[in-house]
Amino acid sequence: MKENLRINRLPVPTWNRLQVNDASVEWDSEEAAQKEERIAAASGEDKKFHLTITDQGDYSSKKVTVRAEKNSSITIYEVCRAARPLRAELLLEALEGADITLYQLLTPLTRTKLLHRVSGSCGENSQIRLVTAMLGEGDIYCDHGVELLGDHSSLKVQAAYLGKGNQLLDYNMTADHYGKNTESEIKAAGALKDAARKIFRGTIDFKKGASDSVGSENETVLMLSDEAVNKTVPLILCAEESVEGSHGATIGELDDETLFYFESRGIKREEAEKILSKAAIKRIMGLCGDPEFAGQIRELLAEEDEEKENEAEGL
Amino acid sequence: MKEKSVIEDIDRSIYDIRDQENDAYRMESGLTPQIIEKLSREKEDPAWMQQFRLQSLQIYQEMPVPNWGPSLEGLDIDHIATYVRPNTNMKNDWKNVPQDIKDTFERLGIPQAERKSLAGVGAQYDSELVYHNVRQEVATEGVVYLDMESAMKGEYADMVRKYFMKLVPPHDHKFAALHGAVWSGGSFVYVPKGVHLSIPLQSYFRLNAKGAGQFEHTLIIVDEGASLHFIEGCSAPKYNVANLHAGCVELYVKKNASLRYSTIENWSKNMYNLNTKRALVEEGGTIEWISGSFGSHVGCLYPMSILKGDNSKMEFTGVTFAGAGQNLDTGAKVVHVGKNTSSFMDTRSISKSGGISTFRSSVVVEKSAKGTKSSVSCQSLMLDSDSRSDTIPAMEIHTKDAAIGHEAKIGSISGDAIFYLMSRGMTEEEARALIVSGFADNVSKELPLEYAVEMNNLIQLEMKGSIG
Repeated sequence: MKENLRINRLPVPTWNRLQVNDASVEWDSEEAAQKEERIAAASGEDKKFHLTITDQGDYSSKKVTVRAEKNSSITIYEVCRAARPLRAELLLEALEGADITLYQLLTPLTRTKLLHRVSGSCGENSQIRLVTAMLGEGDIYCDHGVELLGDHSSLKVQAAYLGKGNQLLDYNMTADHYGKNTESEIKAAGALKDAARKIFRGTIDFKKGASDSVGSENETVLMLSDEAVNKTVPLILCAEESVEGSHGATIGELDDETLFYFESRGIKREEAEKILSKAAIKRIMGLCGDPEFAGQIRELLAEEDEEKENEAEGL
Repeated sequence: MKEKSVIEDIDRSIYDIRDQENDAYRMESGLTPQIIEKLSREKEDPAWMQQFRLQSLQIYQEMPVPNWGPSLEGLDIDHIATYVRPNTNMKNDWKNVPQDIKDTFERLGIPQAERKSLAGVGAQYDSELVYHNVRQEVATEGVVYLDMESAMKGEYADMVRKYFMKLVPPHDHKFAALHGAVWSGGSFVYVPKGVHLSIPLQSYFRLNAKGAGQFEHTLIIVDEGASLHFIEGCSAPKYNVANLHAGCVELYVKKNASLRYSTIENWSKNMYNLNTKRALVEEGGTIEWISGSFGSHVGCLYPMSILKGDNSKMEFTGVTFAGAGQNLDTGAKVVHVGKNTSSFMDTRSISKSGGISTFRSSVVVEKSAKGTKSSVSCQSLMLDSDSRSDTIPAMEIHTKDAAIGHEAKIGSISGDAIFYLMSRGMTEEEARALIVSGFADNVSKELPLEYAVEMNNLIQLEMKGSIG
């Protein structure tokens, strides 16, 4: 039976008219074929995993539990491909002194939807790093949240997207600071083409007791179409005096200064927009340090170029 | 031990003095069609207004309480008297205002300010204006400054009917509907084409009655090429039951006109301040909001600007100070519709002694608003860990041809700055008060001197005893 899931909730709601308080997604839980998997690194280990999640029929779902024991390190390269509605959930637990780095490539096909959830928790002196590339043509809902429970724990987030067609990118990230001297950094960047729609919700929540913590979030959006719609909602919630929180956002088309830079090197506006629309995604390719994962992103970006050329040639 | 403070001579009692309630008429509490009809008869409304009130009541009863923002659980509308008429009709000479009411406004400095620096004054006491006057030289230029009731029935009746609650319709939200049903008092201002008022007009709203509501309506039309500075002040004595303020301000800024709307809000800390303010700005017009929010138990205040005309502009400069027992949810909204429009918001909020301050904003850029520029800056200061400070901005952009910037910071007073000031002879309390006053100077430097002084006094008053 289909039901409407309420996901991607803002921790503190705002005007309903803006339609950013949450997302409503039709889902059929009865149809869902659920799979589970566990990934772990023992104390002191340094491990890498490749994880491919694909749909197993309509409304399938997969849950992956990741546990990094004390002073261990786990790097995961996750590729989520969906031709039919797919729901993926990752539970990340970084114990004292552990690191978890998750590189994600989310790529649903047209007219399908991909729901992705990450719930993380950080122990003392641990770190979680989430690097997410959103491509494809179907709708993507990311509901990500990390609790910085231990003192001196940290979260670093980089999200990149290229929205096109009628795609909806609905991204929600929450960093809850509980421990002292905790740190979070959320960076999102991307471009919107055609009639793509994107919502970025980013929340830094300093709980009482999270003294001497620091949090920052930033988003840069390149608008490439008058049909595209961008919504940006960066929250800072604060119940602790001695913290520093900041957020910034820049939204618009290619600015004159950047355009001048390109034109002075013989690159026209259209080409400059094409380069910059992929810049955020390409940055992730450079960061990941894994040829296989980077290759998959490169392939998708090449398909994008091919489509563009075909469009230009009227094919 | 004597309390050391730079503000020893400031006396909050000027706001807190309660007059004995000598009401001529107090409507029974609650909201029913019968009560609304009775109110309408009391006010000798035209027929269309009575109809409007009843329709608004129906909307109010059908609409839910907003599911966001501060809790309104302590507000029981069935125990709020929606209309309290003071024991006088409106005068245009302070000598004729009853002594107790006149004394209250004297303490608040209104007649003195009128003599020194204002072009006209309206003073509302509970539900009705008790004093309204405009300088002769301003009136001769064709500036109309009337109480709403007179405007609705006299020469400007058609104009009032044309604009009244068109910008803030009753179905906008529950408390706009409530306002439509029970509004009383307020001012009507019309500035004719090309007229520039060099000194401001001011309305002051005083709510004396316990357990009552104030629902004044302010309608201002600044015609083509004209300019106006309008100042609004408000206060009330503190009671142990909830009072409600659900006023409504509608501002029409015509082609190439400009309007500055300044507010120093100092309601008592049992007040639910659920006010709605909105401006419609035509081509080349400018709206500037200057807003200082200090009072109220719960406040929800987000002046909205609709930049309809090409090249129209909006600036919002605000400061909010939330102390013990206060939950102040403030900010601004702007909708860009015309081409080459621009908006700028600069806000500061301060939380202390368990106070909660929330900055909430929305910037909407419609597809038609090519060439839009918008910048939002909000800074919050936490003075202790018993308090709370949240920022909830939202941006919705429908065109690529826009440049939108947003920045926010939250933090505490730097220990280095306090140490620096203390090394020059200040006490810690004085140092903190000075830093907070400086933090809020975005608003104080935009206000006329007398009001800037009052604002700084309020900040220092709030900072009193902030150490230990």
